[in-house]
Amino acid sequence: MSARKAFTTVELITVAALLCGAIALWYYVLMQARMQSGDIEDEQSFHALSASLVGELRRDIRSSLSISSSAPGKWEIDTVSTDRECLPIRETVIYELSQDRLKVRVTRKEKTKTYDFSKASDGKEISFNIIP
Amino acid sequence: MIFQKPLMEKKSASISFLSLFLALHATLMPLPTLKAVQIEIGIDSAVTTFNVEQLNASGTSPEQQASEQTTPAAVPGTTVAPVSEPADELSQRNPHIFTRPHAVESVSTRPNATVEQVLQRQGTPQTQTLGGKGSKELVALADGEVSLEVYLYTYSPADIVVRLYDEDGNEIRFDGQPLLSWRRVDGSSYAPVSFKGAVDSSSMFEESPGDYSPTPGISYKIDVKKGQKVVLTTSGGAEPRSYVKATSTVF
Repeated sequence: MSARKAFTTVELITVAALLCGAIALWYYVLMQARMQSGDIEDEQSFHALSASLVGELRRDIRSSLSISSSAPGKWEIDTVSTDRECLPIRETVIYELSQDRLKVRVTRKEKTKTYDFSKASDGKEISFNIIP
Repeated sequence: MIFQKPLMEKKSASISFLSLFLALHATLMPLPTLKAVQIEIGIDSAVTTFNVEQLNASGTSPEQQASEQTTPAAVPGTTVAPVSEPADELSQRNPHIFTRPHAVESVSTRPNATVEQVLQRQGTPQTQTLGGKGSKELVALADGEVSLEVYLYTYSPADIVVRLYDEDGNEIRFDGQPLLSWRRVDGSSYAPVSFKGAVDSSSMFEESPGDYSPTPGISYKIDVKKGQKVVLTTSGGAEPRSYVKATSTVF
């Protein structure tokens, strides 16, 4: 009566195949979760960025005397605000959607602030429109 | 349990009637037009729309009646009793209670101004006109010159008085008289303007023997300081064509 001392080749190959399958499945699930998490992060950052832009735009619209579109994707808002002595002053604020439709530039007092949506929108073009 | 069904029916009938009433009300009642701007933002077709309200349309002014300070209406058939003594004592002991604070005194002279009027910078002369009878308060927002143009047309006793008050609300008198006073007892007597305590004989001219009329376009200039208040008052039988105009860059 001879005792069996080792696995057969077939057994080893079967176990290796099962292990490979399990690892592949685990990796697939992990990647899916990571992608979903990335999407949620992008969505959150898009909402945060757009909320910030809309908040600034909302303040300008509420104090606006006139809104005009000088070119496609470009709007000039004539606003009323107060200076340091609380006296009313007029200033023109320009909102402009970039050519690649990934950024919105806000020019106020000759200073330009850029809302860059390229990362938050994952490279997709954004829609931005002001309808007076 | 037996009474629940009729009760439910009654309740549903009430709700139906209320819904019908609200629907009719919403359909028939015209809503005020609001100025609003739409913002659209999003990725691709997933666009979110925001509606943002704007300022009043250019050139429009707020409703005067709604904006002005309300005053109590006189109740007919009542007897007004004089203020009792304890109130006088109280006001003497605690004058601060009965004194209007500075913050209230120095209100803008343009409470119902439009955006364009508010945006007019200091330096542009503004003319405040008091036509007919009434009173008007003007607070100087800076040091400067004020031109007062007066015209009192009347057939019965009438007065135009312009008083000047300092920052603390005390009247500045000139030889015991207001800044400008003009009292006419009738339509023909000689009654010249008194400005800064001095009589201006050129304020009246003799149209025919014994018949004096006010000189149109007479004006007087004064210097005011920031915080001082000019109060224009026309009373008595002044005709509607009477006026007091204060022109200055400080109002």
